[in-house]
Amino acid sequence: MRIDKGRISGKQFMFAIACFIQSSGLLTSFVSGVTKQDSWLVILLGSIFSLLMLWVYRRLMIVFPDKNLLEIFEETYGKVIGKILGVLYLFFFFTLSALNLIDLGNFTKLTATRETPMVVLILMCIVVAAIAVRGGIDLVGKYSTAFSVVAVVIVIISTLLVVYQMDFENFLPSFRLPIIKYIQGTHIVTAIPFGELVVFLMIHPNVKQSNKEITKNLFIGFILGAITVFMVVLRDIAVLGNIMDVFTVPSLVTLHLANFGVSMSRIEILFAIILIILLFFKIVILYYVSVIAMAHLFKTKAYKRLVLSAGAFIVFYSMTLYPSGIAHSTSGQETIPFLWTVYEFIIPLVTIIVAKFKKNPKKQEA
Amino acid sequence: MKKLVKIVLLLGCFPFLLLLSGCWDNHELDTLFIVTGIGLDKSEENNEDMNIALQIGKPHSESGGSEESGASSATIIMETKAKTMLEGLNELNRNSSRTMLLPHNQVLILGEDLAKEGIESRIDWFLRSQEARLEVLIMVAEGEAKEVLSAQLQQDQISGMYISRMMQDLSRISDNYEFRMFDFMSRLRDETSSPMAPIISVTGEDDKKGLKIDGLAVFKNDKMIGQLTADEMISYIWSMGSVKRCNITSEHEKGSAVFNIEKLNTKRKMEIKSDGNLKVVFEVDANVEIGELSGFDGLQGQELAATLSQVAEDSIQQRMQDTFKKAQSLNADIYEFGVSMKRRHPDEWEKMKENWDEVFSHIELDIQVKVKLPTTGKIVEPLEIGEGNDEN
Amino acid sequence: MIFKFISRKIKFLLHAAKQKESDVEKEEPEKKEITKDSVKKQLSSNVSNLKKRLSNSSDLKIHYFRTGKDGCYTGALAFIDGLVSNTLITESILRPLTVWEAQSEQEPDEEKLMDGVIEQALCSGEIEKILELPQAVAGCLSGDTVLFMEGCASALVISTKGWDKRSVSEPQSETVVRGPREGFTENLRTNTSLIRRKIKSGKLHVENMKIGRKTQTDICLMYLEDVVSSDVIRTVKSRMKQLDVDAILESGYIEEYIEDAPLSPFPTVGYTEKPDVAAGKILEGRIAIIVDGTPFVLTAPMLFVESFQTTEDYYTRTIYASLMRVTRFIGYLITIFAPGIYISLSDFHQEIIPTTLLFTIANAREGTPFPVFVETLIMVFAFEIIREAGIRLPRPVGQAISIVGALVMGDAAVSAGLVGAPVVIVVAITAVSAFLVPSQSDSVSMLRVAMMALASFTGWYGLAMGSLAILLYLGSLTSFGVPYFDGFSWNHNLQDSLVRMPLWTMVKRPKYIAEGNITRIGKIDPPLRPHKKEEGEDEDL
Repeated sequence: MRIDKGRISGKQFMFAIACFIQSSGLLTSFVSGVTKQDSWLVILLGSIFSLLMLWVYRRLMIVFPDKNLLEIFEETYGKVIGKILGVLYLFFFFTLSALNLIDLGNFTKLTATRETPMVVLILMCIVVAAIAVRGGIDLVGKYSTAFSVVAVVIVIISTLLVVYQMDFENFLPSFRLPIIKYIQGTHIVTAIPFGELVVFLMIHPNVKQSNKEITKNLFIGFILGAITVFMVVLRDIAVLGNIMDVFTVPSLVTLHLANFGVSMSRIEILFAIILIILLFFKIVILYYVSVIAMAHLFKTKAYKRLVLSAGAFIVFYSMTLYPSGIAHSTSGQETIPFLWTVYEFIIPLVTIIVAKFKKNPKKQEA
Repeated sequence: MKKLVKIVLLLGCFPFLLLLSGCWDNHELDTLFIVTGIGLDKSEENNEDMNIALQIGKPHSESGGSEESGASSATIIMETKAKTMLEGLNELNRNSSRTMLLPHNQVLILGEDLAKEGIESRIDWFLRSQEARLEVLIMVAEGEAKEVLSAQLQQDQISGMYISRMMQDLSRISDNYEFRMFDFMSRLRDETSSPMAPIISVTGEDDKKGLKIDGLAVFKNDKMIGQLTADEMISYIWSMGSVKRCNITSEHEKGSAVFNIEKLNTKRKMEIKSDGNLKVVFEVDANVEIGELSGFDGLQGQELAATLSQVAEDSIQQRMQDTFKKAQSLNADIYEFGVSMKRRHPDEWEKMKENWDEVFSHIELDIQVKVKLPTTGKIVEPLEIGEGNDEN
Repeated sequence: MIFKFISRKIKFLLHAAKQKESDVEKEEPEKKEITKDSVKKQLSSNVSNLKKRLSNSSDLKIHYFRTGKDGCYTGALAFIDGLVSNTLITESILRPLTVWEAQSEQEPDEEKLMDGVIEQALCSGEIEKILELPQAVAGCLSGDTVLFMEGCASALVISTKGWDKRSVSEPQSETVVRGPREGFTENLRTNTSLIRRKIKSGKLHVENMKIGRKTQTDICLMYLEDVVSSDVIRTVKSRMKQLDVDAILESGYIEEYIEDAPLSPFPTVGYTEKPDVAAGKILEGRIAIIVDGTPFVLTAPMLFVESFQTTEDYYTRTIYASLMRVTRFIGYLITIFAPGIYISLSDFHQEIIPTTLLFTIANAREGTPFPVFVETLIMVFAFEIIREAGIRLPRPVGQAISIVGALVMGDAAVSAGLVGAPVVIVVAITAVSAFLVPSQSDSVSMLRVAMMALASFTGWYGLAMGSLAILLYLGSLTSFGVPYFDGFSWNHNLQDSLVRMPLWTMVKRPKYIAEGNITRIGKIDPPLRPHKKEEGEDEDL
């Protein structure tokens, strides 16, 4: 029983994952504040841990090829616990959407529209996102490739443009921070941008792919995204050096400094636009997943009717989630990673184990 | 069908809705003053305040500007007194017909007196604000910053633009000619490096004024403690990395020569000597070309070349060494030796971090210059200039 | 009797279905008098009936004649003056009839007489024997001549179509530097023949239909049977069949009736005036819909990419063609976004403009009374006015209008201080770029204004959201079930989208349209360049 009948190809799935990672990776300040010039190392470690997590997701996708996460829960834990978990996850998806929406709003306020109220920006975004969600997964999937490739191209171009500003001594001294910092950084990277891939467990039934392709697409997509993030972080450290951790959006400052001839010196706008597009893509996926989860819990197939109400809820939620930007960034560094780990790693892992013991992945259609 | 009508109506209303609702960030260009330079000076009356001078590129309309454009200046200077930059800005915005547009600010000029007093609290706004760009140049005026901003220049009418173009030209010679807010801030955040800013001064007569970079102001933390002369600035630039196109004049007992330095590269090595002091080695590679030559009678070919490269090496080394001595006498780590130590010898760095000033004053600098003299210009030897040649 | 009645009824129903005749007027007499429709034996009653059915129009000409030995048979020709070729009537009907002598000396028997006329007398290729008067009426109206004979309860419809028509000439709307100069005409048959001459394949299927209760417009579908996608052809046909309208005067009528998204700013049915374009589209698996009376042939399904493809792309050198295609894309983006970008830069993001340029713009803006958005809107609107005026007026006047409009108005507006010079420049480049992609020019003007509004609302954020919305909208559009935006999709062949790759690389027809016989280049050797290979062989020899 798929709620959305649309299907996407394995390639689109792969690039959707890449896009998803790239988007949050470009806002790298949440690690650069913790680990400074060693952030690249943290990204690397985080990627390795995330591969472990991906393995769990892959397992779930293979064992339940045509069930989304909420259906898997009901299958594994029975109706009641499954429903409870479903509600929890719905809440989780809504929170993710709202958080990313806030990120987008903050970023826009920072770079472009200082005085425009946040609600307006968020509303505009959610309206456009609603078009995408109504179009279903195949409309969303269509653009994953283009967005992801454009993002990679822009990262490469912008890196080339700041080559003259780079000082590779900025990476030194390496490995001099206290170990706890690395652990904290790795944890943040794993939990916040990378672990959010758990939402793809809601989408995988709509993907035309074999088991082999699942593995391939998951990992290649993830690695593509992670490499982009890695490049961005390397570039930012090399250019900014010791003041990188001051800025909210280091990449923007990096490109700010790309000063080659007067007429073209403002390329950061390019970066800002691609960042907006990627964040938008991520929001669309999260929004879509929330709507699907909602439709599942309400036992309706007409998910398109839920789009607007879910959107309204997300906007409202994001407006009330945090009282201030500071509260957002502290919770981003302190509380959220732990809470998220439960949702992203522990519950899927437990589910896999339980499913194995119950040996019940019988392929009956609910 | 009704749905279609609704959609069409909605789409039709949309643009008008947008127009009617407030456009929060919309600032028409004719309601803005484009700020091209900011000058901060010490206030005579009390220590808390500072004089803030904003240089604004004067807007003139296309149609009616022809009669008056000749006489009046191209800039407006707005002044106020305030404790901090933000207060000053608000004050100026309140009292002027237009809003200040700051992202195009080219240069922040600090008055010498203010710089000597310490500037961290004064320039905090420039680091924090989204409006102020990090590539703003930072300079110290010889005298008052306002004078530089209000100087009636001959070349570029707006001194802010003049300065930014001048610095852009210089940065083509060497990457290290970058004295932006970004670089300043980066050095300020290092515990040991001393930030630097070029010193700018006004030259020339009343309405034929020009600007000139007159050396570098050396800061210790946020206070200006001394300055390098223009010559010292050049040799400082040499010791920081690679330089293209510059020249050096050398005197020798047999004559004098001006060398064009095509390319100069400096690599540094840090060594820790057995007595705990630091030794820094500069390996300088230079490609030079003979620009002008006089004297050196009786030297030919190979011999001349050898002598000349020796002369060049000596004078490059001499000048770099002199600058270093100056820095040492100021006890200001303008070379970022501390950062190099931190990066390459982090363990030792931990030990000497505390008394870096002490360590710095005992650094021994060894400069090894290698000069390559591939061409001698069009002619080999100095011309024997005839007697009556000075006419024309 | 009842049996006959039923059979007649069935016949009528079939006929009605075929002709899409459901006029109430025609059903009324049917009920009263069944035989009223049939051709009678009396010549005079036939003629007068025909006249009545054509509401006594004065251009219906009746020509009585005598034929047979010593003129023993009387007959009449009926035709509408102007629709028929007089020479044809003289040469192929009248002349043979006057010299014809019936070979058998029998009494005029109705069947045999008519057969005799067909077989022995007439020299026309297209003759149809009819029994019903409505058929005669239809024949008359479409330029045929109806022949009645005294004593025969049947009539002949002889094809004598010959109205004045424009000859094949160079199309006005699509001029080319290189490529065939012939264009479609208003004549359906000429048009089908123009396409047939390009595709000499038995698989080229031509299907006729008549649409329009009043206009009875001939419409012709042409497609390659082995290439066209069955889904698409089914959709097109079913939509065409459902059409029950008074009039089809131009292919635009059909376009609007059968489009997937008639309210969308983007066209989802293509049109062309050139047979080579139509042939190219047919070869890619599209359907050409030719409508009588217009030189504009519709092609369906249409994809977004097609707006950027011109036939000349395939006739000129590949690299140049690719360059031009990229230029067209850039032009398209410019014409949508340039005013919006200008507004967002000068109103919101002054920090992005290089300082010297900012001074130039600021000086130009100094003293102009309106906000940038209004200023731009005025100029864009003025441009639309000038364009519309230039198109509708006769050509020499049109040029004068554009000179007055563009040069004088623009210059005057600037020197009067009404608008700034940069706006004029921006609008000018916008306007010129719009001409690069003529088939999207409708969508462009709408999107442009929308983008301007969004830009004046939240700067580049609005622009970004607007362009995302456009992208998503494009992604959700379909043309006869084919995703409109598919030409750019990663999974499909991209040889012919952003760039035009060399012809030898386009081995397959576009996957998203063609079905069945996909391959269009046979026997590909790996080098793909026959030319080079020959050279190599020569050297070996």
